[in-house]
This record gives sequence, structure tokens and C-alpha cells, in this order.
Amino acid sequence: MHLSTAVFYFCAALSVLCAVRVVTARNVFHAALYLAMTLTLLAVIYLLLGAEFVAVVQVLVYVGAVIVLIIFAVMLTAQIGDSSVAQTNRLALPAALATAALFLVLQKALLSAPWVPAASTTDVSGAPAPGLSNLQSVGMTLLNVYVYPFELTALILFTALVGAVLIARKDQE
Amino acid sequence: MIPGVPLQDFLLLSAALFCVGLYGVVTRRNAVGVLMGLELMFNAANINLVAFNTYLHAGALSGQMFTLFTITIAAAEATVGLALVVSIFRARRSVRLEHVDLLKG
Amino acid sequence: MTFSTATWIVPLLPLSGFLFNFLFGRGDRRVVPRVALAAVGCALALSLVLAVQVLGDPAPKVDSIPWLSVSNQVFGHFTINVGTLLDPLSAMMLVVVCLVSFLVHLYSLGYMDDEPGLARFFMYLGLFTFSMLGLVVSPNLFQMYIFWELVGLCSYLLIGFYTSKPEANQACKKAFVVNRVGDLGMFLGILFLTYYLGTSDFGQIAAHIGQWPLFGPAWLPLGAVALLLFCGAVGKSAQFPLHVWLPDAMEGPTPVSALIHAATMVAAGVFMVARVYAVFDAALLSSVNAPMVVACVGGFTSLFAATIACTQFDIKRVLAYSTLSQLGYMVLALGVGGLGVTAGAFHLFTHAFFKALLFLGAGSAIHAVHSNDLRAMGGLRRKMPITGITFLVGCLAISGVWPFAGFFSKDMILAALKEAHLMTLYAVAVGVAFLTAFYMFRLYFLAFEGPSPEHGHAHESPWTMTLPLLVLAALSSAAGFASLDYNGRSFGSYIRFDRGPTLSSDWGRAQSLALAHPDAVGDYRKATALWEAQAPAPAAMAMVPAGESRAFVLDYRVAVPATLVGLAGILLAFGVYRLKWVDPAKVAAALGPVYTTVYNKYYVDEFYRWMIDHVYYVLSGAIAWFDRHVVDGVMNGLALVMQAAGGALRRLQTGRVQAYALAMLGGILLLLGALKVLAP
Repeated sequence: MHLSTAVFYFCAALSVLCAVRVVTARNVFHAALYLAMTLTLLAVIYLLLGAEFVAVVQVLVYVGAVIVLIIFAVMLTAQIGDSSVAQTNRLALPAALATAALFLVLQKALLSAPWVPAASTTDVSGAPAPGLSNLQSVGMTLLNVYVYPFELTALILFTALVGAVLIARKDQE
Repeated sequence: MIPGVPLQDFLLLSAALFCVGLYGVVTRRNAVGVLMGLELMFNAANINLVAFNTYLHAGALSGQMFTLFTITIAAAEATVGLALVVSIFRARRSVRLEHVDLLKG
Repeated sequence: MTFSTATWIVPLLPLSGFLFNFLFGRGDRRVVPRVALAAVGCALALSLVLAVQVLGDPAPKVDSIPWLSVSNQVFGHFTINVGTLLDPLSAMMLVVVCLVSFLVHLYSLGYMDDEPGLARFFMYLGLFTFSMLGLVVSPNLFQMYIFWELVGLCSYLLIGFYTSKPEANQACKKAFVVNRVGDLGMFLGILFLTYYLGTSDFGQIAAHIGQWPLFGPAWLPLGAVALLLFCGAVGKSAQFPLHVWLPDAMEGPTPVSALIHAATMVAAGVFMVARVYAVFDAALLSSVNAPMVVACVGGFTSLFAATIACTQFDIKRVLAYSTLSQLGYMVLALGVGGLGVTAGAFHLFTHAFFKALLFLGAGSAIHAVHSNDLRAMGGLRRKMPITGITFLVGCLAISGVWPFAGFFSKDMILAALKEAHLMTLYAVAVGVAFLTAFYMFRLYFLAFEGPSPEHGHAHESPWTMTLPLLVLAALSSAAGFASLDYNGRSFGSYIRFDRGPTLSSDWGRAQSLALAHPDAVGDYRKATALWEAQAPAPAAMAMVPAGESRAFVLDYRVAVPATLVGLAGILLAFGVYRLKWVDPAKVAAALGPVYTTVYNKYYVDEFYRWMIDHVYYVLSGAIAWFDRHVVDGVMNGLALVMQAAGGALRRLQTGRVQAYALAMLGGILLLLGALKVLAP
């Protein structure tokens, strides 16, 4: 048994458990922390897959920024006596059944499909040279092949920024 | 490529995370809780993308590029969504979703 | 399109008068009547010119343009034209209508002088004249039907002229509705005839009617179609059982009664039967003997009405029943056929004059004593000599005394009956002649002779009322001589029915074709193809021998009994009402229930009322119940179901986004399941 195999299965199981705790925790703050745990474990899995840049970005952006944002929102919208009330609405049972059904369907479909590795000539985003590290490859691809989406993403982020500021500001008295 | 782990296990992991996230979206009373479930769903998709990239398109990077972009967009979306939640909280003094039912017929 | 005659102008003159009065008259009491009078006067002049033209050239002239063309499996293959037909019959009717209308216009200037709605009256008169003239020049059944309905409308408007009188309101509605009943049958007849024969033009109908056994459906004998058409005449010419509207129509002003309900509109039914007489004639060859039915209806009506006329005290009602009776005579004559067609048309001609005269004279009398009741009148001849003498002329004419017009026309009818050997109907006709003389002279003696009532301040009417009386009296005296023979020409040589020379052979040929090809019967396309494919059968001999005279011939075996019977009636009336041989009231009391029944018009109106109340309203009540509870119930039920469904579905709209998301998930699962099932 390889070390990476064991690590992977450990991280996978733990992440699922943490995810369950995210959606069932009574205290929203605890749920946010569990989410942070889940996302970090996923970053580990990315590392195991050899997607180093993605793993780092996951930690920086998701765990570092988005979780913080969520915690801020939790704090800003905290209500007194919140933790005493149940956090799940009355759709819990139908939702559980539906999602379980969905999982079964997905599992059946995924397991029965023949996953065939693609021929290598069809992908334009291939590593420019075999000897480069993942970071270098990602950087060069991002700024050559994907330069347009890259610039557009900047625009989207800017729009989101302006929008969020506008929506969340206090009304001028 | 992780030795000893077939692709299907990654896919099952992502399916599980997705379903859990969906359950959270449908069930949580707190609006922020819904957004957390949503983040879980995004991440499940990202797992899929990276796994496919590693196992099926070994020399290429398209899955990872896709993942980078979705992380970015998901962050932007979380921003705006939380801004909305805060704004609604200010208007209604409550983030409970059952109180936001103006479209009730 | 070239017009060979100016016939189309004649109806348009009174129409323009009407339109002028309607648009520019503004109810002016001086302008409107004079414009109307002038319009009808011009129409009269033109119709006289046309009549002279027809005397020289009696061949029918049709001027028409195609209006509606139908050629498909569902509605048939025919073309409806619009235009005019000028032949001796329509020329005669043009003159009669224009003349009587002109005289009535003139009379109304005096009679209606103090009426508030004078302008409206003259407008309606003009409209009526236009409609009637349009009817008589129609070249086909459809156009005639249009004008038929127009005439009925004008009758409705004119009967109900006194809008504040409730009896008048009831009467005009009754007239219209009863006419509609007859018109329904007539329209069905028109539709059947046009659909199966492919034409509604009178000339073409006469030419092709022999083909009916092949062209018409197997289940509809030609006689039935003829009787359907006759329904229209039953309604318009007030034969039994649709006679009930005519006595009530007397609620209208007297000039209206003279024009419409004596001389012209009621004659329209007779005119129509004469126009399509080819259908009735051919019906003799079919399984339903339509002419016999027509004759019986006419004979019955004339007797029926004559008996009622003997008992009435309202002067106009007596004249109304007299009209019914004389119309019955005309219909009887038409039913007999042959000479009877000429006789019926001639009686129409003469009756128009003396009946209009009688009505206008009665109007004078009513105007003088301000009452319709005979018992309030008396000795009027001394106070109003012109009215009295002309009225006497009218009575003599209607009683069939030589040399007045009625003698000739009645004798012609009796001669036709004798020629056809219909002795029962002949006896009925003679009986009716006796009764006619009796009740007319009863009327005369009660109103114009005898003692005057105390408050008599009657005086002679103005010249606008007496001049028409004089003109009509002159015509009633002289018109009869038109039936005599003048170098081969007479009324009967112009207006008569000649059976088509090929009717019998055509009928036989059509019958044999129908037997050989039963699938083609009633199918216009197949029937036409078959008919034209076969070589024409050898032409039969002409049915009407050349030079047969339809002129009036004095046959003493007919004339003497008729005159004696008339004189007997006059004598009886004289004796009872002048010499007081018996007291009529005692006779009435002695006859008891018989008298009461006759006096109450044989309770026909009451029977209809009962039928409507107990049959029609019950039926319509059931249908109304069905409509309200079943039809509306279904509609309301549907609405309720929709509402309930909506209310139920409303619960899905919780307004909560998470529920919607869950629903979407459920939908996706369903879709996946469906896909799994359908495309495994």
C-alpha cells in the first residue's frame, strides 16, 4: 500500500465527514469552520493529484478569502438565541431522500461508464516542455492560450467587487 | 495519478460531496448556511475536473485551468451573495429563509 | 351591361323619395308628403309607359347581373342574379301597385292631416312602395324573397304606426311573426328548388322543372317542394291557418289597410304562386297533388272568412275578412290551374281596385263619425254623397254584378272550376258569392242608409280623399272589360300559364334515367352529365293548341246562377237591414252557440294562444332549464374545477427558494428515470 493511497483515502473520508457536519451543525460558526476543514483536505487531494498550483490557489482563495468572508457575514448577521433553534427546515426528509437517490443514480452511472484516456494530440493546453514544473506550465498556458479568459476574469472580479460594495452598503441617511 | 486509486473513487468522492452540498442548500435555514452548501457543490465539481485532467488527459492542463477559473468565479459569486445576505439582514432583521417568501402565491 | 328596359327605375323612384325624406326631410309636414307623392307619381307614369310597351311586345325581358355564384358539393351549383324581369304579369302588377299607392298617398294627404307622425307615415309608405315594386320585378326567387321580407317589415312598421296604441303594437308583432312562419316554409322551398335544379330564375325553372325526377332527391316529391313554397303564400296572403294576422292588422291607419292589406302586399302570395306556377303544374305529375291542396286551402279560407264577416260590427274588420275571403278565391283559382291561373290573376287585378275603394270609403266614414263601429254609423250617404255612391259601386263590384269588374273576374273563376269539373269547390265558390253579397250590403245598409245617429255631424271629405274614391270607382266599373277579346288580345292572352311543350316527355325521360341510375338522383353533377349525354327524346306535340283563347267568354250556365246568387244576397241584406224583415239580434240569439263561435272567429286565436302557452312555452321552458343547468352547469363546473385546481396548485408556490430547488432536483431525478426507461 502506497503512502499516497492511504493519505488519499483518509483525506477523502474525513472530508466527507466534515462536509456532513457543515450541513448539519447547529451553530453556523461551527459550520463555517468545518467548511474550512473540508476545503483544506481537498487541497491536499489536489496536491496528491499533482495539481500544485490549484492546491495553493484553493488554500489562498477558498480557505483564506471565502471562508473569512463567510465568517464576516456570520458575524454581521448574528442573531441572539440562534443556536437554540434547529437549523434545518422541514424539507429535511424529502431532501435527504432526494439527494440519496441522486447519489445512487450518479454512482451507478459513474461506475458503469468506460473512462477512456483521450488521445494526446487533441488538447492545445499541453505543457510547453516536458521538463517544466507544474507552476511554470500553468503560468505559461494561462498567459498564452487562456489570455482572453484571464483578462475577462479580471473584469468579472471587478464587477463583483463593485456590485458587492453597492449592495451591502448602508443607505445614505 | 495516485497509484492504487482508480478514477472512479475520485468521482464517487465528488458525487458524495455534491449530494451533501445539495442537501445543505435545500435544508439550511440560515442563508449563509445555504451559501456554504453551495461552496461544497463547487468544490465537488473542481475535484472532478482535476481528477479527469490527471487520469484522462495526462499531458495537458485544461482541467486545472478550468478549475482555476471556477475558483475565481465562485469567489466572486460568494462575494456578491454574501453582500445580498447582509443587505437582506439589514432590511428584515432576519436571515431565516422562511421569512423571505414574498413570491408566495 | 346593357339594359333592355327601364324597369329598374320604377322601384328606385319611391326609394329615392324615401331616402330624400329620410336624409333631408327632417320631418317637415309639408315637404315630405309632397315629395313622396311626386316620387310615386313618376313611378306611376313610368309604369304606364312600360305597360304600353309590354302590350306591344309581351315577350319576357330579363335584365340582371350575377350577384352570388356557388359551385361546390355542399351548397350546390347555382348563380343568384340581381335585376328585373318585365313581362305582362309584372307590368300589370307595376301598374296596380303604383296606381293604388299613388291614390293612397293622395288620400293620406287629407286623411292623415292631423296626425303627429305625418312625415314618418309618408316615409314608410315610400319604403313600402319600393319594396313591393322590387318584389314584382324580381327575376328570381332569391331576390323575390329579399323583397318579400322587406314588404313584411314595412307592413310591421305601418301597422304599428300608432306607437302609443297597445293593440297596434301587439298587432304589428303578430303580423310579422305569423308571416315569418310562412316564410320559413317558403325559404325551405326556395332552397330545395335552387339546390336541386341549379337555378332560381323563373324562366329557367319553367324550362327545367320537367327534369325533377332525376335532379331532385328520391325522398322529396316535387309536390312537397311546391307546398313549401305555398307556405309563403299562406302566410303573406293570409290563408288558413296563418290568416290570424290580417284582421288585427286593421289597427293600422286606414290608408295602410287599403294599400297593403287589401290591394298589394297580400296579393304578393298570389303573385308568387303565379310566378312559379310551372312548379305547381309539374307537381301534378308527382306523388303529392299540390294544386289540389292549394285549391282546398283557398276554398276553405274563403268560406271560413265569409261566414265570420257576416257577424262583425267593426267596419274595417268586415272588410278584412272580406279580403281574406277574396284572397281565398284567388288561391282557389290558382289551385285549379289552366284558365284558373288567368282568372286568379284577373281577380287580383280587379280586387285591388274595388277593395282599395271600399277601404278608402270606409276611412272616409270613420273619419266622419270618429268610430269604427257600424252601430254608430247610419245614413251617411245623405251626408257624404260621393263617399256613399262610390262605396255602393265598390259593393256592387265585389258582389259580382254586371257591368262592374267583379262580375267578370268571379265568373272567370267559376268557369275555371266548371272546366276542371271540381263541383264541390264550385258549390263552395257559389256559396261564398252569396255570402259576399250579403255581408257587403249588410255593411252598406248599416253604414250608409237608414237613420243617422243623434250626434251626426258628418260631412263630406276634402277633394284629396274623394278624388281617389272617384278614380277607383271608375276603375272598378271599367276594369272588367279588359278581360274581353279585342282582335285576339285580352287580359287572358297576355297573362296565362302555358304548360311547357316538353314537360311530359321530359318528366318521363327523367324518370327512366332515375330508375336506371339511382346513384345520380339528387346529385346535380351526375344528373346534368346523364341528362346531357343522352340524345334528346323526340319533341312531343305542343300541349297548348295554338290560338286557345283565355278571354272572357260569357257562358250563361255560369253567369246566370252567379248573378242570381249575388242578387239574392243583396236582396236578403236589403230585407233584413232596411225593411227589417227579421231582427238580426233575434236570429243571432236563436243560433246561440253557433253564432258565438262564428262571432269569435271560430276561436282560432284562442287555440293558438293555448298552443303557445301549453306546448311552446313548456318546450321552451324545458330547453331553458337544460341551458341553464346543463350547459351553463358544465361551464360553471369547469370554472369551479379550474379554481379548485388553481387553489390546490397554489400551495406549491411557497415563495421559498429552497423548496423550488428541491422540486428541480426531483424533476431531474424523474427525467433521469424516464431516460433510463426509454433509452436503456
